[in-house]
Amino acid sequence: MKKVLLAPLDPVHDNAIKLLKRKLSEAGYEAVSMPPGTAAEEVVQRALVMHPDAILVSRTLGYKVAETLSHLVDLAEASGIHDTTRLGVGGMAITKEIGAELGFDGCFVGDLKMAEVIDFIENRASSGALENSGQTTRAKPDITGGYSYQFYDARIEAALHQITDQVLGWAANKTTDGIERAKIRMEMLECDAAERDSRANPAARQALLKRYVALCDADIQAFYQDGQLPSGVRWLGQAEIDKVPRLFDTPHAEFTPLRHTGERPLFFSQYGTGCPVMDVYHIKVAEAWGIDGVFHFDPSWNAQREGLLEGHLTHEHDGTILTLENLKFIHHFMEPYTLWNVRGHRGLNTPETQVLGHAAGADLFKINIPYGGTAGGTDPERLTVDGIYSLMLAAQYGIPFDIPGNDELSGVPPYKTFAGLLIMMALGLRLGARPIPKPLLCYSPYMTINGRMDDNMIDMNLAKLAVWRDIVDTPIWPGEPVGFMTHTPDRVQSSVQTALHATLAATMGVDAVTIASSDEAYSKGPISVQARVDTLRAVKDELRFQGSVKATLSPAAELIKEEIHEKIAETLHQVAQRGDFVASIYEGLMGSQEDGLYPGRVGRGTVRGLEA
Amino acid sequence: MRTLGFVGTAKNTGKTTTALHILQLVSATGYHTALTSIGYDGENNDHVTGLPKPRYFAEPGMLVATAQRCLDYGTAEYGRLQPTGLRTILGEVLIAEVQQAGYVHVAGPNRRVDIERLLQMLRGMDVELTMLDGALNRLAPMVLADGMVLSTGAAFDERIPLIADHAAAMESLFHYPKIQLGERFSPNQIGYAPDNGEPCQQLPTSSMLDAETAGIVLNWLQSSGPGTCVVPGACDPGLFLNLAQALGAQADGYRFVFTSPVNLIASGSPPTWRAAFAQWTQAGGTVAYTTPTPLCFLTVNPFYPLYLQKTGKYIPAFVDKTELLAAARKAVPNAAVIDILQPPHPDLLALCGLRR
Repeated sequence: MKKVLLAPLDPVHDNAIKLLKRKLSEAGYEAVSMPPGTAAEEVVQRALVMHPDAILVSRTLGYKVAETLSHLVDLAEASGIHDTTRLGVGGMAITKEIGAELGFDGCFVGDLKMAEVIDFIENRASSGALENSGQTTRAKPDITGGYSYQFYDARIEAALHQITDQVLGWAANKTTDGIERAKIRMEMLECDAAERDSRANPAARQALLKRYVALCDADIQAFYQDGQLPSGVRWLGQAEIDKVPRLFDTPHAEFTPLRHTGERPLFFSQYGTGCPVMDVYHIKVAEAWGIDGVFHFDPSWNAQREGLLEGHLTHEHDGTILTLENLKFIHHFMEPYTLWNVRGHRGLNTPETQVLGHAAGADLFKINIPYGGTAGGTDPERLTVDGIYSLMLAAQYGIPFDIPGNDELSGVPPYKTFAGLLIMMALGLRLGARPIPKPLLCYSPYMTINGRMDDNMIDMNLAKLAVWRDIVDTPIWPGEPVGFMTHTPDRVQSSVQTALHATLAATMGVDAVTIASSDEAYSKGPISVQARVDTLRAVKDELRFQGSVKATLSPAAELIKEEIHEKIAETLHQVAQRGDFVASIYEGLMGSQEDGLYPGRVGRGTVRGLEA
Repeated sequence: MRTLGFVGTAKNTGKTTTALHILQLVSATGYHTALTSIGYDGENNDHVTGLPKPRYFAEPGMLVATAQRCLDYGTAEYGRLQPTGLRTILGEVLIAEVQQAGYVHVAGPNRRVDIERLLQMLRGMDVELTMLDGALNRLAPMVLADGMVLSTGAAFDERIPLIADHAAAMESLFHYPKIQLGERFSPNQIGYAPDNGEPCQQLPTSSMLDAETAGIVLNWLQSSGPGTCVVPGACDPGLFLNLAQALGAQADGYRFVFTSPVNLIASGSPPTWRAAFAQWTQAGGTVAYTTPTPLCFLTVNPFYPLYLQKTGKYIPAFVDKTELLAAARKAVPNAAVIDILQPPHPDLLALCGLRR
């Protein structure tokens, strides 16, 4: 039986030592603990008599405490016991780098993980936790892995089949300037790659750029031709760019998930402060606090103009300008395990966004035609053509795409939104892509006007998640973010609502959840890092509180679920019967003007036939 | 190969600044140099105080023995990586040759047995000088060094007289001679060999850290008369002082042998050791080491991190640098005492035995 000597080296606290003693004894070790206030000399003396395999020390770090800990290590070294006994340390503020500096052989960071402790005592490196950081061992999760996308409702499947045939047939011979720019951009990227391989052909690239610019709006043309920047945009200075690598030229915090148990759900948050440098800060903070993935949010004007800019650009309003240089700069600083979504679900540059996102290393896209084609967005006809091309790109690149259901925020009932999500799923699957629907957990106008959440917010939200399990075998990712329209400027209130919605979703076994910062709805400018941490901490603690508890639907929730399911089928039947997907959006079958949804107008009349 | 150790009395006493200065001097001599650390060095800011720290800058051709994970940090470019099989918290220690100059993060082995293996490997790579950086107040592994530079300063204590006295007490421990022990003594056990020919007595421990062990040793000394007592591990200076006092003026002919002065400093307060040895030697006893690591010189650093309760942050603060240097020089007349940032300095390479 291996022997372990446990010492708090703290004048008062020994809770961690008591806990370790119990768990090690249960695991079959001879664990001997020393009381609080024990001096390093006493620990070493005891070790000289006991000859333990390991000494484990628990201590909160503060100034001069480091010297106390290192005195123990030095004394162990001087006495010779360090030759045969391994020394481990854990406690608040202890990191692997500090453990190494203090001279310990093992270091336990964050919450107690017994597997790590036991591997250490056994002198095994197999857990990876001792010698490798989470950042090097954590694999990038695959959200769609393990899902068959098998439909369980034959009526819905049949309607989707009919709609998909119609949409793809309709779009087959159409194109737009957005698609043509995406194609040119692909050629330009090949030129850029050739340049890096010393096979530069500046004339070829210049010719491509000329063709590209010809397909852009006037103010984008002015950027390329005259160097004029859009209002509120400036070049990022070289000094600003050069400063960032130095800030992160140090060991990074290990990944500590928000989850208390299990591997799901993954948690995502958005960035898009306007400035790529600020975005990097936000991402690093979110990573340090346990986020699994982030979204790139671009400015709304980016979506309303034909053509994208180039270069490192910063912007004084919300949303970070989508350029290859900005994307690559931001992505460079992400941890290798962080998932990255570059959204392109609306706007006149949707296909090109997929091209740039792929070139910069995106893991996920975001495409939703019915949502992007309404509510102040892009004209439905235009976005249908662009969206289908984008789905083809997602399939070609092997990058899953998520489908946000945020049209609920305009007042659309969930079943109509969900019908749109299902159509997007079916289109994506037909084209070989991997979709992820994102039912929105929110206090939407439909809920308030119709009193659907007057008593509680649980039944409706659970029903909105459960209905998917009855329809199709798919990953589910509530967003975007959860708790939308429950938030107020009060950061505590906002954090609580986010945490409650996120963990409610977790009880339903969802695959991912998007959470907001606590000031996201009311920041009146870029969100603050503090507010980002608010919700990450709130969610983490709520998940800790809840553990692996799973939700069951109340009779009321079951009824809501059945109602939504039935109405989804009705809506899809109507769209299929209409025989024209684009017309269905214009006519409000997936969200009417009475609901509060209006077709988008940007880019109207810009679809044209493909030249023979 | 020569191994030079850099140790301090606390965090922020100037170990790295001193080592960097020596590294600069050494680079002009053409020594094939290797750098490693018994702790972790290279971060921009102190882990605890958040204040900026000096960083190691390595020139091409230099070898760095550091944990695998550290090679990803810093700005130096490496080549010719060689595994060592030595494990640390931060991964296996690799020996890497700097190919493009830059900042390096250094975290090498921290146990004496592992450092010994590393030094053996470096010898095999024709390294002429290995610089072994310490960490905080740790110095026990420095028993392997051929020479040691000791840094102290206001980060240890803000009271100048106390810094100077503590430095003098440490320095005083380096004056005792080397002794070759016979085979009667076990390398890992306390033993006592009386001069009267009685058999050697031994305890199943290397260290004297409790009153019971000290009582047994005192009993040996009192019952068997003068002889040689070896304590190869750690020794509590308070217990040794009690033992010396108990023996009173009757220590003539008694010898205490320790491994190294670094073992004594690692074991407890240098002023207590100084008082204990004063008592012991005045009564006729003698002290010797089996591995008397030489002290090359001492450095003093006026910097200390000042904690502000109001903001919960540390700010840089300084004691009077001139007064500190003068006080330390006066208290330590037998060794060179310098402030790296207050030139001129004596020939530091010569003090380290590195002058070609």
